Amino acid sequence: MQQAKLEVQPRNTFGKQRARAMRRAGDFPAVLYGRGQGTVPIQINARDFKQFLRTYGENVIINMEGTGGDAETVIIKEIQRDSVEKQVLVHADFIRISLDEPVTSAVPVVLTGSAPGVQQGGVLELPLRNIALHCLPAQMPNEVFVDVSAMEIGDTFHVSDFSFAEEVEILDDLQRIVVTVSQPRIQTETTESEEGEGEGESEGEETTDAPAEPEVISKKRDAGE
Amino acid sequence: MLMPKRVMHRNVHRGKRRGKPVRGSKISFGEYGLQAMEAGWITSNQIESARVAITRYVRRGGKVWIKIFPHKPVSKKPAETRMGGGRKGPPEFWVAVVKPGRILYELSGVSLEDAKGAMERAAHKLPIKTKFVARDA
Repeated sequence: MQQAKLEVQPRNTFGKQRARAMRRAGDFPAVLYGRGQGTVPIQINARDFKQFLRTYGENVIINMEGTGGDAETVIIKEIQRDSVEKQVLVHADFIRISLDEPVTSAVPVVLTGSAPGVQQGGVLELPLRNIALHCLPAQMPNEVFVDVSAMEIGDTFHVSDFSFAEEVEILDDLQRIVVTVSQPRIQTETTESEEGEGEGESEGEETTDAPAEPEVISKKRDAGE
Repeated sequence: MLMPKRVMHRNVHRGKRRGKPVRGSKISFGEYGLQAMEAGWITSNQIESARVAITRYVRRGGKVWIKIFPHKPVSKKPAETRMGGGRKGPPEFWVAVVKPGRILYELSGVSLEDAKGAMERAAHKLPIKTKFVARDA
């Protein structure tokens, strides 16, 4: 995990109205907590923080300055974004860490190479995009790489196939699939005809009075009582 | 057609559509998604119709996830019935209440162009404005 410096300002305004005003002014609210010390409300310049994320990503040890005391060593716990406009930062949580104590972090999985199975028509699936690791911050990788250049159709890469240093503990289930090249699901004539039938049914349903009704649980309970 | 297997109540109130979704606004499984840009009710027929449009377009490979489910029954009085009478009509169809930001469908295993084309066709089947989105790097 690489280290980076981040400038913040202490915050003494609270509530949604002031938070909205702060966002309109170009900052956004955040909070710092952890390690049995007090919770510190802070505010960060949104433009600077976006630039910070572009440069270092979310998996980074931050030397936070401007909290009103000494510089703090923190990591990002959560970043909340607007559900429609993802570039709008709503809030951020930072958690204090010690460089001598292990931390838990979700490290992104990055694929390298191109799988021959995909060229044969297979579908490359990545069911696990982040892997949970527990180790000292200095040993925490920024990202883990999976080489898919030898993966044919039907091949899978499990969590147990990762090789880390002894000190790095994997918290995810070792049997979980990280990457797989699955068989292509080409629609056959039968499925197409089924679809056609399904469409026909739906058209039919529009003309009928009501579709089959689901079971009503509350009625059943009343009847039982 | 999507419909709940069991429900607590046969009829429910219309409810409100204000606000933004609490969850379901991130791409969780696939590479690409179709995101709602306004609030609305999407019927089970529309959900199925859009799904068929996607699967037909990405005929070769690809995997589709439907991220919404029509939990809400919508009732309707029978034709040529006078208003009132103290009894609601029977459930006519089922809808999913969608708020702006909600991811409706996800897609993986296809190229960006194919995903865009498929989602564009799906969007034509839906009663709300939507946007094509790709997973963040």
